[in-house]
Amino acid sequence: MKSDRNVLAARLLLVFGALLILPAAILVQMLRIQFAEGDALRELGNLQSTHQIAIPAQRGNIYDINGRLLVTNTVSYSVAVDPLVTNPQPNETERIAAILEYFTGRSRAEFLRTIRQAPQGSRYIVLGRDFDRAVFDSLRAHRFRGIILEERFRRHFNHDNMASHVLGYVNHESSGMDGLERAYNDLLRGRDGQQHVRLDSQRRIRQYVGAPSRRPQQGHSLITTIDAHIQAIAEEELQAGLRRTGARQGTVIIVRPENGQVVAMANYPDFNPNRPGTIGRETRRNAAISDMIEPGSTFKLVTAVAAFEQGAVQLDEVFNTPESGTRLIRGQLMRDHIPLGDITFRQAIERSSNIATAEAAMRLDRDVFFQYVRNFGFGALSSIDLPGEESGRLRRPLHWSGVTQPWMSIGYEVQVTALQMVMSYAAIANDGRLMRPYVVDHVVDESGRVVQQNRPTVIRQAVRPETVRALQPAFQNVVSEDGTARLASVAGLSIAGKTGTAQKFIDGRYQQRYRASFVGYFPAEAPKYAMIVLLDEPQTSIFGGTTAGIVFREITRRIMGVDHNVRNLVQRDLRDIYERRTPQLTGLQADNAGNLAASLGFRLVVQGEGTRVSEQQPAAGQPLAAGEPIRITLNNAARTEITEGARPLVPDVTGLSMREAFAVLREAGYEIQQTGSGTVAAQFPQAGAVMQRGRAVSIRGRAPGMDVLISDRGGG
Amino acid sequence: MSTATPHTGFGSIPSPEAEDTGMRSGSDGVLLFCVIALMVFGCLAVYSSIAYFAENRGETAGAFLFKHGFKLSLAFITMFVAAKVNYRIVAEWSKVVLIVSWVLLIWVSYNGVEVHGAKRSLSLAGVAFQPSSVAMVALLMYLCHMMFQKRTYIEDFGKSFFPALFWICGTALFVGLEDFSSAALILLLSFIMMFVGRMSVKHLGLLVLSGALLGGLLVSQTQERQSRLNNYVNQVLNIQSSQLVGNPGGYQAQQAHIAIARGGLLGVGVGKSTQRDFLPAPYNDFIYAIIAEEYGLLGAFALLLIYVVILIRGVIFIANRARDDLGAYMAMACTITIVVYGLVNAAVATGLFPVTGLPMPFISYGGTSMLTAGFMMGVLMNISKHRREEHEDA
Repeated sequence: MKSDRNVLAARLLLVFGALLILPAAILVQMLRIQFAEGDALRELGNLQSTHQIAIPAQRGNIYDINGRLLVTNTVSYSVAVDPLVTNPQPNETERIAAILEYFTGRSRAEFLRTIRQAPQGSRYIVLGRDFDRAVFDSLRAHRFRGIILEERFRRHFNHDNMASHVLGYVNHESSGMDGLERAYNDLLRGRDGQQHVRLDSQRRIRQYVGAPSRRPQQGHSLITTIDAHIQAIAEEELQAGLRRTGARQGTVIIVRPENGQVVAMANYPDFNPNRPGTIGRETRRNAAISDMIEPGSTFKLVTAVAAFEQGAVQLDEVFNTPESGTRLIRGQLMRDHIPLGDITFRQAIERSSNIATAEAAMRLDRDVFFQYVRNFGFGALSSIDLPGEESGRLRRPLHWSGVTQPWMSIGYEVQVTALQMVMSYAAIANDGRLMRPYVVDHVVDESGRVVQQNRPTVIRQAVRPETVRALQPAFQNVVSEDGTARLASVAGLSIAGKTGTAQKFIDGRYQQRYRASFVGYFPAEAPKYAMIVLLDEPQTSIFGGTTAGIVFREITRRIMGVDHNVRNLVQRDLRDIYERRTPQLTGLQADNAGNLAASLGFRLVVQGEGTRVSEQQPAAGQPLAAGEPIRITLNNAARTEITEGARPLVPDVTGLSMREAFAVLREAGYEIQQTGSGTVAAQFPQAGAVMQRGRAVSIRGRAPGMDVLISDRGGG
Repeated sequence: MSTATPHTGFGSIPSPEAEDTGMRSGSDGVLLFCVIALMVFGCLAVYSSIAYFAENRGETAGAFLFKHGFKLSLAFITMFVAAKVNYRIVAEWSKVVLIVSWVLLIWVSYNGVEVHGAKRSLSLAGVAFQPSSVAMVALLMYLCHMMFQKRTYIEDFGKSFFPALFWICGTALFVGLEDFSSAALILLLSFIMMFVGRMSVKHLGLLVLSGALLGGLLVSQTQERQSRLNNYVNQVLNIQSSQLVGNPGGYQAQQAHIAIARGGLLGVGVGKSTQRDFLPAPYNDFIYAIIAEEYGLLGAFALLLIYVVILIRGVIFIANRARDDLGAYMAMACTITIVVYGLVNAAVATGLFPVTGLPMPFISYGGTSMLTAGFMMGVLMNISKHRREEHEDA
């Protein structure tokens, strides 16, 4: 037994000793890992577990010249599901679908079908990209296992189609594709920040490590030279003009002659940059700067300036145009729109005589004439800060045929853009100085510091100021009773301008299709605005004066209501023909309506019982003979248009007095931004626009009675 | 003086009533301290490393810690109950339990719950239960019992060696159906016990030789096995630190190495492990790597030291001084099972052994292994109560 015991003890000790090898080996191995390989392993560990992710920078805003927000960002929430996640909550997909149904109104079956029809094994099924914050919050609160919620900045164009061609649009990555969004993409974009994160083996983010290693640098904001009021006016009137004339498309550009700022630039058809993909590329092109056209008669400005400044003609020199109204010039037949007989050069300008203009042009050396055309900026880029500009087409004199010079003098055999055309007239308005047009006034950073200031740039002195002063009366007279554009005239305001009717050159020959235009500036004495109106193929009349001229007039007289400086130049006292107009009383509380009427000196006849005015006779804005009372009906129901909740509409306050407008807008729940006084000439946003209550409606006043004066003329 | 144990004859074991003749002493306090220390270590490491897994399951780490604590208390209770039951009774029942566990093993391989592609456990009242670890304990206990019964003719091939080999190979086969590494470990532990049980060195040598021949034959047969062996040897010798490894085994070993390297001397701190997101089952198979990362070399050495203390206690103080050979065998079996499991887990984490998926006793998150470890510790404590009076052999 004893020897057995000893054998056992010996074997126990042997096993004990053998087993001690293992911890010793582990110890050695750990030391080896730690000290021999430690650095490389630690670096590998850091490499696989840390990562830098971008903190997206917000794209900058775009404002109009008065600080009104045109383009900004909204946050959109996208929802995706991973149906293969481990341990989902019971009925998880059904519950997600039910929540989405509750918030969006789309049926839950639709969402479930999306999930079902996804490819086998897919772990990222997008249910939608444009959800509200409420959906996001609700889904997050449920702590679903298989849901993927993402927050993204989306570009938002506040006024949909307004100024769409100027502003441009962005792609799905919020990178500018056209317009200002493209031209200023680098400034708008900002710089993404960086954040260290810790990843797991699936490279999913486990946690954020410390503060951002680089804070996002938010994009810069653009303050443009666009005036949203005038832009809206231009677009409205352009559309109205297209409807009236049946034209295919149209363009309006308004610039400030003294500095080249673009106040408004509109093309129609336009598009909604919030959804650029819904419309063709052709429509998204900014025709105002990229369409090359033969200008027609509006180009005679260049000829007149060149011939006069070179001393080739005198203003009262008489040209004999033939009785027939046609003449062969270098073998080609040129015709006036009506036979004009013997006319002075001044009359030739006013009445747009092709034959007289061509004769004057032919007295000039072709190089001299070419130089004048170049000096006005034709055949060269205007260098506006918008992408896609064309330089037009102007052949060098070397390549001119015998008829080029006379035909170019009346606006053929040369191709220009609408912008070049308006800039050349702006040069005349600016004492002969051709300016570089620009759309962005300055660029500010996040804290409002100006990082870039665009300053007016004189490209060159295109003509001498004396020439301008001498010729201006002739251009002003175009708009008078004698000229071709009298329909463009606005009472009390002196406008200098020129009509144009150009035959379109398609497929190698001139067609019986026309492009009507009117280019001008006003007030002629101290020009504040230069404007071009271009209508493509108007159906009602081919003449620029009766089509484009009317659009020009309508825009001009509405600008007068908006711009004090222009209005103050209208000298005539308009108070004599002032007629009283009925204020808007409907929707007001009975007491307020009474006070308002009393303060304006109206008498009220009240019918019915109640706290609110439900009807009035005559309607707001209608004229009212002196002494006539306003009949109002009261009831207790609040007006449905005002209380009906979801989509508050901006009421129409144009034509009301400031006091009335205040009452109506307050009643509708809006704040008011007032400029000027008197009756409301313009409002922004337009009546009928959907806008959240509590935001400001800006209204601009003008002296009472002016609209009376201008509406008695016209007749276009 | 020879042992005072009276023997009633061959094939029987000393009756429990006879134990008053031996010296009675209290349970081993050092062992109790070691177990508590391991459990505290385990709680911290499990709580830290299970967060990611818990999150993927949609639960909190706290809930898992609670479950872990529940299993620990079950193991603790098992340990105390086992410490109260005389080890001879355990030995007597071991054959029945072993046969039942064989039946369970066969049943599990057809009806078990599938985890990681292998059917290892069956659900018992909602708790996953692995018959393989029960089979292992029962086999080792029965082996001790058998060797004690046959101690007078222990070197006989037909009467002693062959029956032992039959039960060992049978158990290893049934366990090996679903869990190769456990079966390998059963073979290793049984071999050690046969050696401890004074079986013929000749026979054991023959066994090793035939095993080596069989292994060599298997490896030489296919190119794939050769390259796997080569890979393993390379992996142990060179720690691939410059780039991430493609194959899963190498990847896991490498991630464990990164954990150890990140730990440094003092560790990154409690709950600050990052490698827990990269290691598979960091709360179980690779818990040693997590401990090395969070508590550093010192913490990991301390953990190894606890197992070494258990080894010293179990072999030198308990097995060597057990009242009879049965106690010595069983004390040895319990000790080496706990210690070898712990050390193999550490060896896997440090890349010495290929990835096995064996738990670390009293540390890892896992039910059945915790209970069997508690049971074996209890048996060990019971044996420690029955010591020989004189120490002339020590």
